[in-house]
Amino acid sequence: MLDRPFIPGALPASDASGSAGDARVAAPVSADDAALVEAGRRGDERALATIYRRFRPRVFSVVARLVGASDAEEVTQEVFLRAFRGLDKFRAEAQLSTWLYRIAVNAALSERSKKRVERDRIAPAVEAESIAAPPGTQQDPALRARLEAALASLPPGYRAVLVLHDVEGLEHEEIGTILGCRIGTSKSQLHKARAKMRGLLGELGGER
Amino acid sequence: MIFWKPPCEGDRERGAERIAVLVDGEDDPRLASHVSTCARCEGVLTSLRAQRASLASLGDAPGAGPDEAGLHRVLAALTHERQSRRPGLVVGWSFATAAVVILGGIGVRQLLVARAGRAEDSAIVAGADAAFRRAEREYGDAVAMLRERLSAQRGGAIDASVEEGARTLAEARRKASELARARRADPERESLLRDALRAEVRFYEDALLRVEGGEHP
Repeated sequence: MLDRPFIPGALPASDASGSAGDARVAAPVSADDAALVEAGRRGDERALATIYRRFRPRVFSVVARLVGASDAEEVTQEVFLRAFRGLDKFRAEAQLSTWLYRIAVNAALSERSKKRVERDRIAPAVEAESIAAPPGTQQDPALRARLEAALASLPPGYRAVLVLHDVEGLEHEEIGTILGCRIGTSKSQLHKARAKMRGLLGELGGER
Repeated sequence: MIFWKPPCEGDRERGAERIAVLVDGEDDPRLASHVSTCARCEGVLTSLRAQRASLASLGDAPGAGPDEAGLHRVLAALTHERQSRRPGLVVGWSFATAAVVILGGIGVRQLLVARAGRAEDSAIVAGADAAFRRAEREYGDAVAMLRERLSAQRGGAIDASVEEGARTLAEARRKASELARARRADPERESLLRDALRAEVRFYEDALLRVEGGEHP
């Protein structure tokens, strides 16, 4: 059983797997993804490779922001391994990306909880230092570093919601499915996370 | 009447949290009205909006590009798991060698018939044929055992979809077997039977893998 992030008001794990309820109104899986999943279930490695290549950038980015750059690659591979093992459990009620995000967040927070004590102390500095803008990113590197450092300092539950909503651009319905919480909980967590983030940015940059 | 306190009064973070509601354009007329007339709250809203815009422009994390090496590691791990699990899954699956024996029997018969076709070889062919039939019976036992194991894993019941697939494959095997018996040492018919047997073994193994294998998020 995977660890779950602490999200106040989160639904029980069994209830959060995608059957009914106000948190789960995500769009059904696309025909293309459904075909890939079906082929993947039969062990078609080309289909698995396509899934990996298509979704790795997003999965990696979420994982990197939740566990830090140094562990991101390993955790990302673990995410896809879990996903490919469990393709039979994927139900076409949600997007494949939503399902992968869910596995990614769970794996990342689980990994993080293992290393929490030490990492929480040193993560902000390490993260800020390790963030170099990827090619093509126009953002001011100093601002980027501050943002990443502030993100790294947020409590895991806040960080997950903020990354999924403000960085990845997901809607609260999808976030509810991923985190196994209600839409209202996702919104409230986001507001708290934004306020906290603003405070952290002020501390890091002297701006308030 | 419920007392309404402006977000700029009291705890700063709590105030920013309340104002954050407006970042995504949520409807709170009283709050919006206050913020539009309060320089401090408007400043908080502006900085929250700028923060959101900055986060949205972060894009991919460094290292999020293609990673073929990672893909190969994942696929290799999957392959390794499947290969190492199969023997474990079919613990006591010595019967499964029946399928191999059948195939071997078929091969021997074909070889003998192709080489000789002479009358004196007919006894050897008959012996191989008897071994073939015996192995086929053992194969039937093995399939029954796999079904039993699958049923136990499922709490005494086999899924309807699995049951339907199993029935179809068993029927295919029965027909292939009849055809092979009707015209002994016919390579095409025996190949048909061989494929049917392989499909059935693979089907049960996969069904067991799905039940017993892996951690499902």
